Amino acid sequence: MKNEKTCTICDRPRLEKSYCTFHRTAYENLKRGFKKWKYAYVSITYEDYLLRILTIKETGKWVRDVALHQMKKTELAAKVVSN
Amino acid sequence: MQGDAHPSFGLDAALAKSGYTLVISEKTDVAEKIASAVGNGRPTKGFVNGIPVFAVNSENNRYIICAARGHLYGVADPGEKRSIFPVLDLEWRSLDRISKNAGDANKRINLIRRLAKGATSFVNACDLDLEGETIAANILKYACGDAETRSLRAKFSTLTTENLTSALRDARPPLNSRLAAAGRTRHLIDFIYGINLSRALSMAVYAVRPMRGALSIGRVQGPTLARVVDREVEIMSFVPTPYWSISLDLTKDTGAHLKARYLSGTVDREARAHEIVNKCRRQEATITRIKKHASQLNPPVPFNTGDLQREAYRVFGYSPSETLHLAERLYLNALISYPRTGSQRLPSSLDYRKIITQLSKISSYATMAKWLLAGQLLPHCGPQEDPAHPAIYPTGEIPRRTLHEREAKIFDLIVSRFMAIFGKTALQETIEAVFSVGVHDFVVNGSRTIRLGWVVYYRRYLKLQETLLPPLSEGEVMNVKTVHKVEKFQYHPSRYTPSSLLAAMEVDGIGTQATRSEIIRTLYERQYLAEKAMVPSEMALTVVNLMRTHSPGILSVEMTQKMEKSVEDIRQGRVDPKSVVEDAIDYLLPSMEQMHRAQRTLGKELARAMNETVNSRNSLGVCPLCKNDSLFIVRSKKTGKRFVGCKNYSKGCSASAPLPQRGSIIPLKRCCKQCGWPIMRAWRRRRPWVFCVNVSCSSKVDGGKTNLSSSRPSITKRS
Repeated sequence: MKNEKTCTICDRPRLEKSYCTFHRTAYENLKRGFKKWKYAYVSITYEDYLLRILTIKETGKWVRDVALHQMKKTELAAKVVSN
Repeated sequence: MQGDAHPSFGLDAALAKSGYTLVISEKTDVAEKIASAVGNGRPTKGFVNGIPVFAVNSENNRYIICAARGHLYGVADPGEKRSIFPVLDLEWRSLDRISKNAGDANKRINLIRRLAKGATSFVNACDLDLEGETIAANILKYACGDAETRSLRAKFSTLTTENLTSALRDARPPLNSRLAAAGRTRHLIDFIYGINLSRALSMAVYAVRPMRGALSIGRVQGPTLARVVDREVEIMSFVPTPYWSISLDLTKDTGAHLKARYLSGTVDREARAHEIVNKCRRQEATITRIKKHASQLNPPVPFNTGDLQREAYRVFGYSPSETLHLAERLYLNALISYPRTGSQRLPSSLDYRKIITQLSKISSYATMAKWLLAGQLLPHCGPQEDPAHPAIYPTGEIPRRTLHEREAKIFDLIVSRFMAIFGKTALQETIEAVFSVGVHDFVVNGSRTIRLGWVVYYRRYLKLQETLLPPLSEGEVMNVKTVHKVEKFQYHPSRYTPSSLLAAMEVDGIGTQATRSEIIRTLYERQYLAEKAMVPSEMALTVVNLMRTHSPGILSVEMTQKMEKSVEDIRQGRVDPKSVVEDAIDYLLPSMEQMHRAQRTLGKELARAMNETVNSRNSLGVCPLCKNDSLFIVRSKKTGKRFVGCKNYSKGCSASAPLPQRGSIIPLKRCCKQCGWPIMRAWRRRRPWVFCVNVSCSSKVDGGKTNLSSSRPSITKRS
């Protein structure tokens, strides 16, 4: 059971939006990165973007953590909606 | 050295017959060289309480020469309690009263004190830099009864007989004591920052959870660590952006092939890349422009400390501290000039021809020396100057002993560089041919060397790139055989290497030529960095993150640059040392207060990070028995011995293995191919060996019946 005061992904103390300072930075970069990917591929969806980001070896570890967390959240949301 | 070595030096006789000049050097090797050079005849070497002393009679003077062996005095906190901070009242103390690892400092101080009583004059023969001046100033002040003002300064940059003799003969009273004052102030500021910040961090942890291990941060260490951590944050939070590179395979009727790349560089949209590829397919490419350009490559400049450290890392992979250590050994053997220098210039008074003539006696340099001696010798120097020492150069002395492999490599690098600075400019011709396919332009680049020039002297360490092109002419048409479109992703910035971090510190102006490599080594020792790739530990990430939140000024490059400038101002006589120390304290105190207020928050975070760092360092990965990620290095609470154990021991996993109890060990993060157990590296007395921790591993001699020590050679070989 994770402490409420720690980051959803690691044991560092959380800032706002459930992430620690490092995962927060990664999250912001991930959001910014999507705009660039959208410009490059035009029709890419956010889910595809997350999937592809995870397959590229240059992707930073904290970005991977956040991408995985985002995907889990989306899956969970999809399950809630379908139920 | 030629001379008589007496078990007892006959110090009493020397003292009874007072009226000698006491020469104080920084290292014993230097003292021996001075004695050898100045001794008009055979110098006498003796030992007093195991400390070597040299006596020399020259034409009109009698010298007693002894060495300090680095700092004999240091800054200390007069208070007894280590938990109290801020500490602002400091004093200089002999090293044996500060540290348990002071070696023979006390014996040396006592000896110098006794020798000083019979001395009529003193010569400071320590290294001519901030540290050397501080060492000498403290000895003359505390051990020689305030003899600073009565002392003479011997100035030398090499340990050749000629240089040392003239240095002692021309020793003069120092014009001022500003260099020493600057050095002492730097020590004070560094101590004030180091002790107070480190205590604040350590006490914050202790307030939350009493645990072993102290945390440290300092005036130079902080900004350096912050640089490495910032780069790591960039890498770990890096999101790669896609781009496309487009190239053409071109064929000539003659059968020649060329590969041309898109002139505008890369394409950042997939649709645009498609469009270009479609328009170029099965087309003809016409050469619209051929540009030839002859570029000059000037000779390199002589090495200063940083340049040598970077070059040695580039060509040999030696760490900056190791390079400096090797260079110092060469200096102590009188083979090169003083290696701690910021200068890229050589003095015009230096007899280059004589040095090169002497180097020609070494067979590997004979031919190159002959080429150089046939012409005029004009060195190509760099812009950086150092008032104390010239750039690093070979003295021309021939090594009297066989140099160790690593010493020989550094020596060759310095000699090759020294020869290269006299070489002619190298000339290269670059060719750029632009091909047009419709509206799209592509380019092919080629290069060839016209004149090797100085590169001939430095070819072991530098190869000029050559790409030869077939004959091409404007208007010529070639067929586009294939068009390549490759999807790529931007790469994250690379981690610092010891060499690039050193360069960054130099650019930032933090630390000195002498201290930068030590700072990097300290970061490893404090477990802030791991592996050669300079990966910061969780502790490093946390310390920097917390310091940025609670006292950002401490990590700022500007702060440490300002301090360096103040130290330089003292050296130039522009400011009073006292006011510099006061300014430093004024800057530090608000940060200390803030850290004290946030003590519990800091403590909790730091304790977590320390635990995580220790766990990550001790983690050995997957247990070969229970297959969980749970194998790690344990220290027995009962016996204090270390061994490999599994975290699932309480659940029935019996995986365990003994470890060497002495020396250092580090997990190599890989497994034995034979049994799957982790491989580790151990050191003892500078002898490393690699071993599989499993005593029953089939890779070991006698099927694992032998103990670790007896199976070391075969394991090392196999791994």
